[in-house]
Amino acid sequence: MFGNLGKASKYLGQAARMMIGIPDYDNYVAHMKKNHPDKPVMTYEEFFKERQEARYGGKGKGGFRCC
Amino acid sequence: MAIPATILTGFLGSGKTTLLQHILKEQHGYKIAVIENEFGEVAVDTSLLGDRATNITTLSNGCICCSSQNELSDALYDLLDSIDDGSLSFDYLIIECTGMADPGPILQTFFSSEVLSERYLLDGVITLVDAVHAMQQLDQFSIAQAQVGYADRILITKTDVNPDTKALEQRLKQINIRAPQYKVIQGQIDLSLLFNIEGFILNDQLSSNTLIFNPVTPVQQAMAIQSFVIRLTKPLELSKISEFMDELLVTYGDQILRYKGLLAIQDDDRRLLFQGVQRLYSADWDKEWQADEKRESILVFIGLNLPEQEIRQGFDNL
Repeated sequence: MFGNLGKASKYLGQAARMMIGIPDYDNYVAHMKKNHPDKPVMTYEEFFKERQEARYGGKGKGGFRCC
Repeated sequence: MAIPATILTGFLGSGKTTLLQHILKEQHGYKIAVIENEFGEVAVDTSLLGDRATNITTLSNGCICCSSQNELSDALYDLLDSIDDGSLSFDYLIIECTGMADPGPILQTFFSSEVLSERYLLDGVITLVDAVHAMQQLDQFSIAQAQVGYADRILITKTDVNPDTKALEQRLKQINIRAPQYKVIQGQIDLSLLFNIEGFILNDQLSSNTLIFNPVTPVQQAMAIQSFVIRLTKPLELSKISEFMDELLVTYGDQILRYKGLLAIQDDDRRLLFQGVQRLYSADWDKEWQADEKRESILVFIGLNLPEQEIRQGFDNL
């Protein structure tokens, strides 16, 4: 929870963490394990980056896709 | 600049409309917009209204009244559109929830998109509690408890009918130890009590003395929202507390309403602040501990059926 200090806004609405949320990552891992056991699973940091890019229109345009 | 917004909630008959009428009619100099939350209540033929139809009425003192049958986010976007095309301007937004609404999803709407997060600044949740019926409502409806649990301010109404509110005040404090309580008669309230609360801004308001519990008997209820305060004198190891908080959120994320903390971290002279709503949170370093301050971590959790003893034990083991 305190791994990314100094980067978030003081207002909860703009705090980056909310954009992904822990449950999202958990769901993603669970989904990958269940449906794609042969594929590599992103780390929390990779997942965070991916989600941010998806949201802010980076290279992952079109939103998060795992399959 | 972001538009400050307040969520006004409270059980059926708690006096929300009376308070709002007071706010909207008074010549207070503010231009306030009110969204009445009728969302999803009636199955109106939305094809007649269009996808994002919000009824907007401007009152004589400049206040604005909106009602929408659609999602709250639609109404929020509609207001932004009206500001952008110059047809509306206002200083403040109030969302009036229906009596049976859970403030959780309403609150989350403000954090649900980049645009809403940037252009609105959710200032606080104000919960009205009716001194005559609240005890019974709190016993019967977990939604009534949730409304109190999410609050930044609690307004106790109808104290003219029932002035003896001691037990109720205790009960409310048990549910939400953070929120100060005020008595309001006939909607008469100083607006400065309602505005600029900074309920979702990372700050150190926790260090106040309000977090002192009088020992009360735990509520024996199947669905009980309660708050508890954890104080730790031993400085915490950053990685350990970080991991433990993650674990708490993963395990109890659905049961936690709100939480705030001010932490003393090992080998660091700065205070660490965090706050969150359900699984959304923010955390950051604050100023350094002053020489005359007691380096003590204080955490407040408000949640539904949280295993307090187990969580306390977990913190003690850190």
